[in-house]
Amino acid sequence: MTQLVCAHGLSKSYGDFKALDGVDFSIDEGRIVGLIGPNGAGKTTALKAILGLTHFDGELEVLGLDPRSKRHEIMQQVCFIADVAVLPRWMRVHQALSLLETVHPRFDRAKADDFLARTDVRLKSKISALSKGMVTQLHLALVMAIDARLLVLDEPTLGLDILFRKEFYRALLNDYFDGKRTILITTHQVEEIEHLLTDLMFVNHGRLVLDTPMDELETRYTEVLARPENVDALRQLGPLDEQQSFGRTVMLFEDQPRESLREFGELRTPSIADLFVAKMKVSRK
Amino acid sequence: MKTFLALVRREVWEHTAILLVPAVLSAILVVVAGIASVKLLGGGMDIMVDGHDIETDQIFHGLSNINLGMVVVFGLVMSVVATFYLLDCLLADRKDRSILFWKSLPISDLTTVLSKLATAAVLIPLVTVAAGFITAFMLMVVVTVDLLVLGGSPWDMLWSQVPYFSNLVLVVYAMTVGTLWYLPLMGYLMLVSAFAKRAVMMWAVLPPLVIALIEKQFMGSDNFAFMLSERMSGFAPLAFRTDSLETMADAIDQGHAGPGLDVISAVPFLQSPGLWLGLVVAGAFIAGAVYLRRYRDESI
Repeated sequence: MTQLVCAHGLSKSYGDFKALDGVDFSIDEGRIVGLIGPNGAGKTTALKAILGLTHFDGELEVLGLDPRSKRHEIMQQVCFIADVAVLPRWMRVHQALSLLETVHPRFDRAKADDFLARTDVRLKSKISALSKGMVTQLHLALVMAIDARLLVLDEPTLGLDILFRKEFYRALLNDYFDGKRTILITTHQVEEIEHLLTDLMFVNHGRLVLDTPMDELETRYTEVLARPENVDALRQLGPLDEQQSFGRTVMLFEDQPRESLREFGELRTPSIADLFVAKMKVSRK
Repeated sequence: MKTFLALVRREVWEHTAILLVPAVLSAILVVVAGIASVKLLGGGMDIMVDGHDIETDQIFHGLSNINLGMVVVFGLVMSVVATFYLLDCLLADRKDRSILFWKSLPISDLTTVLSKLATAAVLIPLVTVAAGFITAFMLMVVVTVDLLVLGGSPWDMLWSQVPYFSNLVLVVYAMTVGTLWYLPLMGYLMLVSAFAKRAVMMWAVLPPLVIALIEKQFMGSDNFAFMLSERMSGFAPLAFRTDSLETMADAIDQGHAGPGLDVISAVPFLQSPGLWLGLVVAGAFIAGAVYLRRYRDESI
């Protein structure tokens, strides 16, 4: 398995504020990684470092290259869509296509045309005349037509209505992801990407608080819908988090064998959102 | 190279003034000339200069310099266009937040900045020369109609009088030396454009003003201000033979042929330290602009 991104002691400070505080992680080829964290946790800083958009301390290799000095080489095989990476409003759709066709060695014009033909985006339209949803479709069309090894998505569906959001991820999975490409996504809307991730990373206060493949989630994390008489006994086992839900106590355990919990109540695998909330509470303490 | 040209084309897409302004100016000049000649012919009026009648063929003789005149007119207008273009070129992407889209392309920041410099230092002068010559040609067509109505011979009085080739050489020479001379100013404007977040005009004007004022205040001298004014106006005396410029002005006054190639004095220009110092300064400014474009932490 090839490592596309490899970070050791990745750090970045803005004055006294540590946006990233010695983070280690790696991303393997063919994975779909969710990078999740509250605002200001360091997600965006990590993405900026990977994309060579900011100075940082520590070691970081993207496709075996240092993003500080080889940004434009890396960008031949790395694409990104960020909510804030807006397309230039003065540009027309056909201008964007012909520009990409000329400057990007891995851009396939026919693919982009094909994808756009299925949308309401017209080639002659100015980007300023398109709706936000259509601009995202255009951006996705541009990016999907690039034969890239790593796609970075930073809040790609922010501000889009549910129809566009669903369509975005559907297109990404069906038309783009082929098992060899790698996708790194940050988003607040965790529920939407839950089913497509293969790996999960949580960041808070510039540190990685969780880094696990999705298929290990089930064995490592367990939620117990505790029967009232078992609540105290369960607390002895040191749950990560405890919540009241419809009059019942729900406790979340980390690295606790399921067998040992089964007697206290109904078991289930926590959702990413619940796990996220629990992990954020812990890392705040 | 293909990438570079595509980037220059993208500059023209974004900054429509580069083509629109000369097109509109050209149209206005031709329409005004057309209206004027209709009035002239219809009214049958005498043309008076300094209270004297002058011969119409003298006027037409003066038209032999129309190519140069038009390039001067377009040059003045396009230098304003270029100034605003340079101030905007590294700011616009950051202002409309499309900077990250541009940074997502596999293009080095050096290439990006150079493509913008080439737009101002190569494309705009070429457009200026082309617009000047095309407009001059259209004005000559207008005058040809006048001459035909008046019964003159357009070929003898106008078309055969224009030294097309030497005009073209002169204009290309003037554009080249002018661009080289003004390159530090262009670099400075680009640096400001890469640096400022807003109020780009203020950032362009304020630093030199402050430096000049500080020098005046604390050292009582005007060296910096003098140097700036030399930079603004200084290349003509170096690159052209002023004595022949004066005789040329006299010649034009008398309705004789315009400047020949003998006004070119490339050697003193190439030997002047001002040119080379200016180019070094330009290189430093442009390197600064590339650095800011590359490493400035654009807030995502």
